[in-house]
Amino acid sequence: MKIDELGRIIDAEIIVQGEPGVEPELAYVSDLMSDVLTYGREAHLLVTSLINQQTIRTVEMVEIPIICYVNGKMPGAETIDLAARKNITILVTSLSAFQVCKRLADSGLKG
Amino acid sequence: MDQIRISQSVIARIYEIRVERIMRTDVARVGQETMMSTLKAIVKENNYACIPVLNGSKLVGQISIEGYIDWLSSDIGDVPVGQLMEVDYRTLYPEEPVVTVVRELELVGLRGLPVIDRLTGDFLGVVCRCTMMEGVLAELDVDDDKVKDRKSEDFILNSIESESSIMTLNYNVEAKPLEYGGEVSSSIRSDLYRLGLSGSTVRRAAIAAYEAEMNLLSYASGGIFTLKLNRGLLNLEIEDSGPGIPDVEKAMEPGYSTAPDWVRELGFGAGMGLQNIKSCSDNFSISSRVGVGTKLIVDINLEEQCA
Repeated sequence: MKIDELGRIIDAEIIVQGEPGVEPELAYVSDLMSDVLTYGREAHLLVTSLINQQTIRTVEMVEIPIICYVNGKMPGAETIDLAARKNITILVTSLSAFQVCKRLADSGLKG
Repeated sequence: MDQIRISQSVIARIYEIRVERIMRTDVARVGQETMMSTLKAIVKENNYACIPVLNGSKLVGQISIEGYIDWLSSDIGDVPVGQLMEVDYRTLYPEEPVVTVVRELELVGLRGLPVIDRLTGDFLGVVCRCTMMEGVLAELDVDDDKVKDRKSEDFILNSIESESSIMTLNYNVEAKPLEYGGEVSSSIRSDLYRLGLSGSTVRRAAIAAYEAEMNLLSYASGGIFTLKLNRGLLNLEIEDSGPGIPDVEKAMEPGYSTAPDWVRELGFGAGMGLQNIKSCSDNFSISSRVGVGTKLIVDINLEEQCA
């Protein structure tokens, strides 16, 4: 699934365009970064409602190229800058984590 | 920002290393008329990443290890190398910096590339992932002797103490707000990639380093990372002079945590960190004394990077 298509499915706005051509197949959802570091290592997309810089550091270490912030939470300038430097795509949607996951699952993404 | 300056100095020196210093010249070469069955014997005896096909001294093609495996699993019989050799591939020049090669190999997912003379097209040697790593380490050893004469670069000697094939990098985690944690782990991660380590090794090291860095900032006021690269082993030691852990066994239990709310609010402190560091390691040890500090040792076996 292409990022543009992903954005349409979950009504998300692309805030930072990171690495182009990434096609996520596996998503992981958590607000606990330790869990992402432990169990999310194979994912291509992180769905979370935390918006601090540590979310970007976490996906950087685990090499998840796309992060989606839910509940309409807009990350701050420092988080956005860090994501841009680390080539990580940021999506923001006003849907809840559950709604995002349901739509992704309905569209064939695995978790 | 001491740790960043140090790691950049290492990288600056890696940028100076050219392909000619690390390429292997003692590799087998074959002609277009060599039969694949002969090549099979050569591959069996040596761990080549790619085998150059020469016409006289000129490189006319190559059989990559990937191509060789394809042939093995196909029902094409014993044919001359010339029929199967790849002719469309990237070649390297001796004066190219090694860093571009690292990127090139990562990008195309190849284990090795041939080196040719820019003017004559003569075959000179092969760079493969595993010899690249050894070559870079050897170069850093050699360079250290040169550097000793240059006082301005004293800090390099502090960051790299070469003992034959061992390379040591030191990173200092300074006390700072937890929100900014991860900078040192990020430097470690990119340094390891630039040194040509495989993605899965770098990822394990980066995750372990990051968890440890967050611990240093949450509980101690910073600490020291010492990263040693020996052939075959990555060794990371994390040391702090923080409060120490009264019950190490309990601290290792998944879910056990003493983290305050401000740590938890950032998505950490759920009692997973130490277990996660352990899960990234092939060998892990922790020692701690209350009032003195804590020391973690993380060993990760480097993968065989050459087929």
